[in-house]
Amino acid sequence: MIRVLVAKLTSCSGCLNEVIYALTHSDIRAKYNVTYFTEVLNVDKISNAELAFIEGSITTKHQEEFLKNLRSQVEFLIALGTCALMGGVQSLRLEGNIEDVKKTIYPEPRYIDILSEVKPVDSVVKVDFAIPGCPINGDALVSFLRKYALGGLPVAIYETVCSECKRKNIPCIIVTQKSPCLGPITISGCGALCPQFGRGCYGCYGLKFFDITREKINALLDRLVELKVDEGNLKAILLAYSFKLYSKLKESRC
Amino acid sequence: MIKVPELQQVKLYAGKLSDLERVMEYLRQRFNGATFMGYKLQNSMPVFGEINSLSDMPIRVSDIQRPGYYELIAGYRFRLSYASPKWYLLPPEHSILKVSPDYEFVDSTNNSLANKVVMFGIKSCDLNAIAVLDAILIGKHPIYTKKRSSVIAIIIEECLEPAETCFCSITGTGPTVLKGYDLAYARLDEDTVIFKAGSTLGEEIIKATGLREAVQEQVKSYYNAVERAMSIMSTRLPHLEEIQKALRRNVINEKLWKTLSEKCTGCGNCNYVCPTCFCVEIVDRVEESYTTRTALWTACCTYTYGLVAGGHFRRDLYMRYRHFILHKFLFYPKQTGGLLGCVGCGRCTTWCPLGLDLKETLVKVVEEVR
Ligand code: SF4
Ligand code: SF4
Ligand code: SF4
Ligand code: SF4
Ligand code: SF4
Repeated sequence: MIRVLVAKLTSCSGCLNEVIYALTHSDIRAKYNVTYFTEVLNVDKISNAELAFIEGSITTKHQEEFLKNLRSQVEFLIALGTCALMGGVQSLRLEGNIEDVKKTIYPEPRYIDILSEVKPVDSVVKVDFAIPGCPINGDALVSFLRKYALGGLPVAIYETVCSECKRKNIPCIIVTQKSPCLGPITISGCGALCPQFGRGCYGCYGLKFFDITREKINALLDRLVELKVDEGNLKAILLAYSFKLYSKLKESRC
Repeated sequence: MIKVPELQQVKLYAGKLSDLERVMEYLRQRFNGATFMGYKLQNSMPVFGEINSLSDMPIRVSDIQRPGYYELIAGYRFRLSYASPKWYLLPPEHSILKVSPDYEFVDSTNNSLANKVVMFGIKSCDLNAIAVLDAILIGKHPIYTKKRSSVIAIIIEECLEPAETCFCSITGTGPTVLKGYDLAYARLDEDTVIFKAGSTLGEEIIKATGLREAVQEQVKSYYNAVERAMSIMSTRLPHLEEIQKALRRNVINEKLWKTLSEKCTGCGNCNYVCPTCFCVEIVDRVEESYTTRTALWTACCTYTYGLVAGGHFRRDLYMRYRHFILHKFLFYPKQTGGLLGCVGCGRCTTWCPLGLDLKETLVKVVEEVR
């Protein structure tokens, strides 16, 4: 049996729910032994394992140490979801002053000990494999676990949501309904969930990390602004779901 | 390019929409159990699929097409949608192999294929796109080959008014057909339909349905309409030879291609909707019971394309956008024994969410030379 750790940093547990979904498959349970997973198991000590799944981004000093220690105990580390890969919606707070942000939520902000930044997992430890999504697609995880058990890895396919949208025979909603959609710059993986229901993609899987420059994003934003979408909202969405990439592109104006 | 005089050698017949209905009826009886495939309205959008009667078809709508824009209005001039016969002949996802957990192979190319298919109401550009796919895939792609051989009759709807994005007269692929079809019809007005036979089956249909020869006035207005359609399209682009020459000269003009693809995000929509794009990528889907090796449509504008073990041979997006254009206009003829890869349907332009216009790209390449 392959020993597995499942850990959570700052996040909503949505991706962990998908881990639980994956574990409902009996062929997967037969091959994997989960030894640490605080949402499910009453175990609070980390021990050596082959695989670790990490959900969430780093927002405290403690999380950073925890993650470094965990990395030293496992052979292969998989980052799960937008928080772990990009920072996640908590990155929205980076637009403001951290002390003001604390004050808006907590009556006694001085007890809140957090970093001023939001760090994706790969900025602290080495990541061996990434599964994007907010939350991740449970079937992608199932596929990963089945292939890994056979000694392989899924082949990465670099596409946008549009690829899945077209293969599902969905008429483009930008073209037919003048509705906004971030599909052309968002990484694939969800199976074009939102366009399937006639709604635009809001980019929850994150910006694709290839082919994209500031100009390309602007070209799409200009197109969506023509469709009467508020540019500020679009930028906030990009920051929330694609902080790591979008903030870099913002600086470099490449 | 098709010349009007060439067309004039074919005898024309005239009828009403109800006669078109009778043609369908006749074919149903003639080919008992055949599936009729064509454009049909589904949730007010023309898709490509099985049609049961004329009323399934987009016969009471016209499409308005512009770069990145598509709308249906009441009318009788339906041209195209994003879909095409490719959706039947080379489906977006098809399994090519199945393996059991004990490594026992199962032939998965057999299942759920219709054995007799009548293509009904496809366009001249569609017919030419099928010829392109035939040249590349027949005998090489088992699923395409099987599906293609299931097609027993082809009924064409000719366009007498092209959409704003169409340019089939430039590519020599429309709007009328000369060969490769059984029966063709064109809608002269809302109710008048002109028919012509392209095979013995076509002649048989005309005889059996008792269609009358078109009167001189109808013949005249049909040819006038064809000529008008062709001349409208001919102003949209330079001659094909000039386009090809300019493309050849600009293959390594990096700056030009970077400018032309400035707004392209590499989403691949242009490739998926193109009726002659045939590239697939292969993924293995491991299930608890069988593992399926599946082919998925891929797109040369996406980053996946050109990615190989050990590297990437078209890393920059402009190289892939350039490849898309060069493939259609310069490389396909080498692959197909002379057929152009572009049939002038304009789908890539209408369905580009960013509104990139293929015609504009071609015009700019030609201007670069002039
Ligand atoms: S609806 Fe969105 S995801 Fe689908 S093709 Fe259009 S832009 Fe792409
Ligand atoms: S369509 Fe876009 S917003 Fe919707 S689930 Fe997929 S990636 Fe997320
Ligand atoms: S559809 Fe448009 S944006 Fe997408 S790859 Fe094609 S040209 Fe580029
Ligand atoms: S390249 Fe564009 S115009 Fe030419 S056949 Fe393909 S979709 Fe139609
Ligand atoms: S390209 Fe020609 S045949 Fe095709 S829809 Fe347009 S006018 Fe009709």
